[in-house]
Amino acid sequence: MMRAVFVSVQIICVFSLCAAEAAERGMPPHPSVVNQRKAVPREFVFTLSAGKTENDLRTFLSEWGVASLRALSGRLFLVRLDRDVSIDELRAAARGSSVVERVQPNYRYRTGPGEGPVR
Amino acid sequence: MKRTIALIMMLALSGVCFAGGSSTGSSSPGFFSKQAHGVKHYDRYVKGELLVTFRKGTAASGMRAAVMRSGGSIVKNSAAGFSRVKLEDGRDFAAAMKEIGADPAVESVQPNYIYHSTSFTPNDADYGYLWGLHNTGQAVPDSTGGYTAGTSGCDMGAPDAWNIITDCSAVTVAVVDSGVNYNQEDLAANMWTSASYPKHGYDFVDNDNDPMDLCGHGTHVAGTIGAVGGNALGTIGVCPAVRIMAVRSLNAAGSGTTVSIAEGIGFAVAQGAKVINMSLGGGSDTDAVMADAIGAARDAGVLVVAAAGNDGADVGVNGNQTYPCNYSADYDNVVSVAALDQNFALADFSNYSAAFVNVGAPGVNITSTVNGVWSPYLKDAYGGWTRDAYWGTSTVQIYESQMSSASYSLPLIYDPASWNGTSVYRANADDTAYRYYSLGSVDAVVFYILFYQDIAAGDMFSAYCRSGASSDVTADGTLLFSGYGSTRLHSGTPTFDEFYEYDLDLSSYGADFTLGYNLTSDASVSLTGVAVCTIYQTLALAVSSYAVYDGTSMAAPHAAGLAAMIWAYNPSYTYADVAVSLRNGGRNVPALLSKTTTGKAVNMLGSLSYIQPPTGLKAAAQ
Repeated sequence: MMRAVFVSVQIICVFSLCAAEAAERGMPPHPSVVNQRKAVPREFVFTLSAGKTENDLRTFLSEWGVASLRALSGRLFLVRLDRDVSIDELRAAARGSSVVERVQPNYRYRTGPGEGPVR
Repeated sequence: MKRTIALIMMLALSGVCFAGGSSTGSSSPGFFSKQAHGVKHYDRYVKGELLVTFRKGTAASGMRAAVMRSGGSIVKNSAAGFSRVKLEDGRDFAAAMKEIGADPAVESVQPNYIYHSTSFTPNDADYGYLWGLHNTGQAVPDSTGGYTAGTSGCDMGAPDAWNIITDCSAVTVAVVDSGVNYNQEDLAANMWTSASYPKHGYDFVDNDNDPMDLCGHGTHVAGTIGAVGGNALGTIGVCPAVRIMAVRSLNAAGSGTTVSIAEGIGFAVAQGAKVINMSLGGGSDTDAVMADAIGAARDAGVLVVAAAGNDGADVGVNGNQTYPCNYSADYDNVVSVAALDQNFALADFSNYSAAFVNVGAPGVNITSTVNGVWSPYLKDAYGGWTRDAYWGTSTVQIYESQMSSASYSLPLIYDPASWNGTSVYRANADDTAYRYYSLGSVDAVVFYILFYQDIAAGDMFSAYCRSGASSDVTADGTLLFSGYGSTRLHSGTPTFDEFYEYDLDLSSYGADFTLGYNLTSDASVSLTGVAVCTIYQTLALAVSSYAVYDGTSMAAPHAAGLAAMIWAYNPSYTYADVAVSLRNGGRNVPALLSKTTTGKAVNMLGSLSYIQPPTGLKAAAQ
């Protein structure tokens, strides 16, 4: 019978999120770091208006510079821009455009702190 | 007056924990219908037989007439007051029951249910550690390397349920997570298969068809749902036989995005998963793409089981929301799950909410399959860094906080070179430090970058990486993160509280890569700079690894496995039927009152018994 390898995972506070998360909760965190943790820097998900094309989107995005662009399902596109742009700036631009129906950050999700070998 | 007779066995489940008994009755080996992976599936009732109770005073001719119209004949009138009726071969069982039940002479009608003796005893080596399935008060391995005992009966009552059904292989459960080690010895036989996806799923992190788990989290979740039962190896899942679809949406550091997860949900739905386990959290109420994905799953009849999260917070409070957990209020296909310990107390880390969290499930000291073996935390030796003169290096004793005498020895690189929390970094800086790593044969590498940062808005601290060696990684590398501002809690000597952390999966850069840090500033500076501690771990995949984890991520798959079992037991159920059975079939647990919408811990037999009669398994009687 094969012997199971049993790995006991230790959650070591010094290198866990314990202190960092406490800092996150206990202070007004600095905005740029928090934003980067909540969403991927410079990445946004665009929903095109009906009938619009990838080329229309590239034209719309030209003032910010497109580092990469990937078509997702339906009218969704994942875009990485060349520089930092606020979601508010993009939403304002979208409102004034017939190309983009909706834009949002590419939000981050993750396993819970304390779970597994990488916390 | 008409009344509806629910043809189900209702169990009164209340109180906290008790030693559950097994269902007993006549053993019916003749109804043992198939074997898969060494587990058993029993029919629920005797085919073609009904038990009919006639109204008092009904003549024998009236009895016969009532059943004959539906192709039935009375086999025996029991002294207990009911008649056993045999239907003609080929008769529609549900239709006949409905017709007979509608006859004015009939008081009630039901199937002749089958009961079994206790017969399924898992032989899986670590079954005794799985208190969540069967808690005898035994001591089990905990996440600190010791052993912890619990309270007998605080469990999901698996042995009772397994006497009814163990084969859930008709149901596919998608694990939208960090992937699954599909070669793991205790999972391989239960993996979902598809000619189009030979590695049992898809990877939406690297966008290829290999969803191998480079984290461990997803493999742990998968084992709780459906580690193979009865194979004498490792553990056993809630469902000893099931189909597990591996959907890799989180990287080796356990991090994913709207896109990687929403695409994973879409894949699972398109490929026929009935249940999706999502042991993850984050997002925002403005994440419309994620909400749309959850809604599309609902429209396709797919149930989503979500972890409540590990912040120890009420997710109903503004600012504490976490998704997909909080979708449970708006999407009835989402069941959110809090974590319980071995005494059925709410785990101290578990999120909760009387509005958004539905049930509790075992989530502390959970043994399950993992993907391999991670190295210990490796503190980077600062001596390997190439740096300009403005970066200093030293091992620094950092106090945990101003209020604590606990301290940690951290190897740091920092700017200014005289960094001590009071010295000011230089104006017009463009200071770089970098290191080339050659890690040899590894399957994954995760870096934890802890940094103290106290820089002005016009200045920037950044991290970069690129494959191979580079002497100018800030120019030819990829930006990992950047930011300005302060992590400081107070003035004076820095403490560990003031360090922030990024967890980064650098596996895509290969085993040889360059990591670099950069500080830039404008002409005006007055703050105290940056200090960075770099820690990493490497992974070696293996097929026979098991580990103990804590978390609501471990609670959710207990519920997801049960959802699959409910569905396997009731194939005609909708997602809404399964969700109701999952939520309401549980056991009342005081610790969950006012902490969840139901106050219940999931219970396997309770949910199997909490059956809203599917269409056709109801009868109406006058």
